[in-house]
Amino acid sequence: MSSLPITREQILRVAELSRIALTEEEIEQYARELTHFVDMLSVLDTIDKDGVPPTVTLTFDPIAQRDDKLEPSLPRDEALAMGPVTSDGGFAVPKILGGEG
Amino acid sequence: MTRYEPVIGLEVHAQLLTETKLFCGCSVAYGAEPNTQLCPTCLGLPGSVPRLNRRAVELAIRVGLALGCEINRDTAFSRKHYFYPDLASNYQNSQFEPPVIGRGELCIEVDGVERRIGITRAHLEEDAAKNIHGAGGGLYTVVDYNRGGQPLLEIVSEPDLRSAEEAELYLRKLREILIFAGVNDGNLEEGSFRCDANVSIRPVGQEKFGTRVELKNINSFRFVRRAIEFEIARQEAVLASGGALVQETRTWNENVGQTISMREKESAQDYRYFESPELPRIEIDDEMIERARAQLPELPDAIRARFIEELGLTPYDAGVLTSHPGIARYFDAVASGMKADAKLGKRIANFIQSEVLRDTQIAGLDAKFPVTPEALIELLSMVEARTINLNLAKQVFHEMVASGKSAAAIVEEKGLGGGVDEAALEAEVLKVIEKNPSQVEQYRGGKAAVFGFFVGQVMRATRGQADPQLVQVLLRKHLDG
Amino acid sequence: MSAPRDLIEALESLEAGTLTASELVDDALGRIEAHDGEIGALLALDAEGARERARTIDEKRKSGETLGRLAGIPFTLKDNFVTKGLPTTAASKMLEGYRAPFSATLAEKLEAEGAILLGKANLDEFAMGSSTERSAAHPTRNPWDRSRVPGGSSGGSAAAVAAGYGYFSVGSDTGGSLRQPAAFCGLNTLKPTVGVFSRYGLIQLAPSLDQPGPLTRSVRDLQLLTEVMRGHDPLDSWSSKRELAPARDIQGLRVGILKPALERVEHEPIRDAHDAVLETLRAHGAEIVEIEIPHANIALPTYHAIVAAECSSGMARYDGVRYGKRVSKDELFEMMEATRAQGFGEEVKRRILFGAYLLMEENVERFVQGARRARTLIRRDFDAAFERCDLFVTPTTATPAFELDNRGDDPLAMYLSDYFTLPASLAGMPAVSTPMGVDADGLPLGIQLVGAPFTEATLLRVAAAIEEKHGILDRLPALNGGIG
Repeated sequence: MSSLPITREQILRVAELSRIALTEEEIEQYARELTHFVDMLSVLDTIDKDGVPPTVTLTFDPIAQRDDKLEPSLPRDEALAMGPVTSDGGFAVPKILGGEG
Repeated sequence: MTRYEPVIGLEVHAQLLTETKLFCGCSVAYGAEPNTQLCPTCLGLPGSVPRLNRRAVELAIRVGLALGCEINRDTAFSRKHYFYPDLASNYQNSQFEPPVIGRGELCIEVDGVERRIGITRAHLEEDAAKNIHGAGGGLYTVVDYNRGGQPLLEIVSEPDLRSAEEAELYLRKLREILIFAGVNDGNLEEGSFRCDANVSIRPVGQEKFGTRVELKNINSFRFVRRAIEFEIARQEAVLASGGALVQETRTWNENVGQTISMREKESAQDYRYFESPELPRIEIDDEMIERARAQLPELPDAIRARFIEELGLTPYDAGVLTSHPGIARYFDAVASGMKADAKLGKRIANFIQSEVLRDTQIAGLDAKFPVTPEALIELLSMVEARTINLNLAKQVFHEMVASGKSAAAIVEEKGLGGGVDEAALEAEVLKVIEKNPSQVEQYRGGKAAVFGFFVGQVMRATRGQADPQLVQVLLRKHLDG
Repeated sequence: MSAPRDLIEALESLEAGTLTASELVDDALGRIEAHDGEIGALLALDAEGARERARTIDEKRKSGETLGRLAGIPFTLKDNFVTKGLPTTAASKMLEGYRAPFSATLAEKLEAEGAILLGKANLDEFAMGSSTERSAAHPTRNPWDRSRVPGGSSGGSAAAVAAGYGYFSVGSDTGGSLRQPAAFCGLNTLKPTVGVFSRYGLIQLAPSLDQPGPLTRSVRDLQLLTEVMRGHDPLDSWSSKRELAPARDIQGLRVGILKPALERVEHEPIRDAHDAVLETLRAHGAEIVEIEIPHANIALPTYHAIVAAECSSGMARYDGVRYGKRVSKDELFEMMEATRAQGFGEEVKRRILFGAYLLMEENVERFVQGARRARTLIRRDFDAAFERCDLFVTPTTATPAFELDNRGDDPLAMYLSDYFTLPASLAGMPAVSTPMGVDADGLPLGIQLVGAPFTEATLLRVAAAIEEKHGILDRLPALNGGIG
């Protein structure tokens, strides 16, 4: 079963959701490749998986939960040291267009 | 002219009263210096591993029980994806379908009539960070991740509310239940209890809902009422002038007294919900539910009913004494310590309301009283024992608060109450009898008028502080044999 | 210095006093200096730090202090394990110069046992790839034949061990990223059962599949490292508390083979070597049984759908706000979009975009839930297979190491080199890759042993038997002047 080709609009939508700026060449390239990728995945449609529970994650023991106990936090200067731009004890980011926070 | 009815649904985000965040051991204490409550997990550092705080699940179950909701036994966390600096990983761990808490309801009283407001669901999710707006000369937004990762319960009501007043009542009731259940401190100003409202209007009699507007950032009860009222009026005006309503998000601007449209997003969001591959499922067994039930404190409606039926309070008294769980507990401690019946209960309530509450300090879920229940019991017992009368008791109380001394010590010190207790009074009575053998003989010989002499003697010996009725009782006891 | 052949021999020399840790470190540093300009296995080197730690260990040994089980052994760590002292880049521009404020549990554990970290090893960017050519820094070359890839994504780790930079490395495996490089570089590796090794501090690619594991010269080294590295970690919510099952004798073991899978292998030396190994196992008393993984044909799409979805989600955190690269812009989303455009390489962007597409509301049920359901079917196949056999073998790869730049234009072709290794990842089963000789070009070939959960010890025992007959330790470039 061959899928419909992925359109430019679809790649732009996906790029917007993923917050990645793409060049024109990249848009074309990824549209082509995604079409093939979806083709490759379409074989999944053909197997009988009705009523089969999904494997979301795989552990052989129950995933551990923790008690509500305080653990040491990072010293602030260590946390901020990683920040590309910091100010007033926080991580600084440029304003959003329109100014709404 | 079309008549419209408002249709309102409320979404409350309540911070759960845990010590630590939902997926890491960082503190959730309010008011810390920015970015001092961070770790690799809540900062979204590569290589970090989230670890679920089981206490958050326990508290969620408690809320479900408190609201009479279905509790779903096997639910999962899903990631809700969107890019925003207040999300350290650009997704929020939340729940999609089904949520841990299912349908329930909450009753409010509107003009004396009971209204049942449906609860659609409640689910666990992590809180977002806070933007500390406009630093760096206005070019930047500065982000504080302390709040990021704190455990929230999002409680969604059915769109059953039909007025701004009902909305406020619902919120007050819900907040009260959460406070008494010990899961949230109800602090709107600090943001531990936040509310968004979905407001629409429809012609009366129509079933189909109108266009919905979301109102955000409502952080006081006053704003709730005014914002919703404004929004209802605004929507009516738009429709009346033949316009169309837009599905949008608006905020309440107190300065101009209007709801203002927030920037419309360029395109619809697709949150790409999918079940987290890292987190455990929330699996709830009977034991967990029973434990939560055992830990669930008595809820305010039940407390008030008990205060009214068993402890003689008026609905007004009951309301005052359940304005805070600490106050209710305090009253209960005093009443049960004195084995109060309805009459005594009312007297205790009166005293607390008139004397104790004004010096009581409330901070979150804590209430600090000027004297302990035990100390108050000692004082009020003296009143019941007629060692001192009520007026004196109030004076003694003020002295207790000022000096920190016990009621007994103050009464003794100031020579009030003619000795501390019945036993001491009895001793005085016996002394007087012993000292006046001829009067005893006269009285026992039939001269009833001498009785007054003895009363006078005892009153003198106790500087007029004794309870005259008790004096007589004791005199008769020992004179009449 | 006559360099020890493997880690165990190095430990024996250290204990006997015939070698010092400082000598081992100097030897490793010498090789790095001589060869790494061409091989390119490392991204970061801490020569001074390593020398100092070696000195400390030598002194402690002299004064009779108790030392860890790996005291004095130099090693490398794939650069997707965070380390406080050295940068962690995941071979990406996005994390250039990134200094983590914490270290991976395994890094701390190994150093606590006295192992000496030389540096961080190269990988395909964010572990996405099968040749290490996708590293944003530079490709790594296979020490056996420098015109060829060492495999990926743990190619730097494998090349480092093969070239003798220390005695082991720790890498990660999501769909074959340890096993395929091990096969290409003539090494031993274990992708463990989920939960056996702590993943705290391992930068995520796809959390439901990522596993750490060691790369070693010999099977006995792998056995020692498995023992040292395992253990419960409270920081890793998946960490298992279970003991590994005791090793079983090969006598009477039922060894499964996958006939249809074998038919995919065109490279004859691999088929011949595979059959020779079966003979060896028969000689040890194993019974060879044909088994099926009926859903093996959908392992590839299942794997890639799951990886794309989880990766797309997990990579969202890299946005220039809190750490890593930022491309300055005046507006927030412009900043994020430019940062991610310039910080990520092609393959990373590809997987993020593909994954986002699969996760869209209209697609998620079909592709992501669909793949998750298919994964359950594959797991069931494995459970059924392990009723009929105790472990099964496959070639680790269909070909030996291929040449650099031979990818051509079809990125999906690269995905096929993981064909044999994907299913064990999807099912969470432990898998060992061990050498089974070389082909006519002298290129190493690897065989994969897949077992039921927690049966690592049995897999290693079988690997030891294979190594006895088919091992190629003496051919390792590390023991031959570092040249292939």
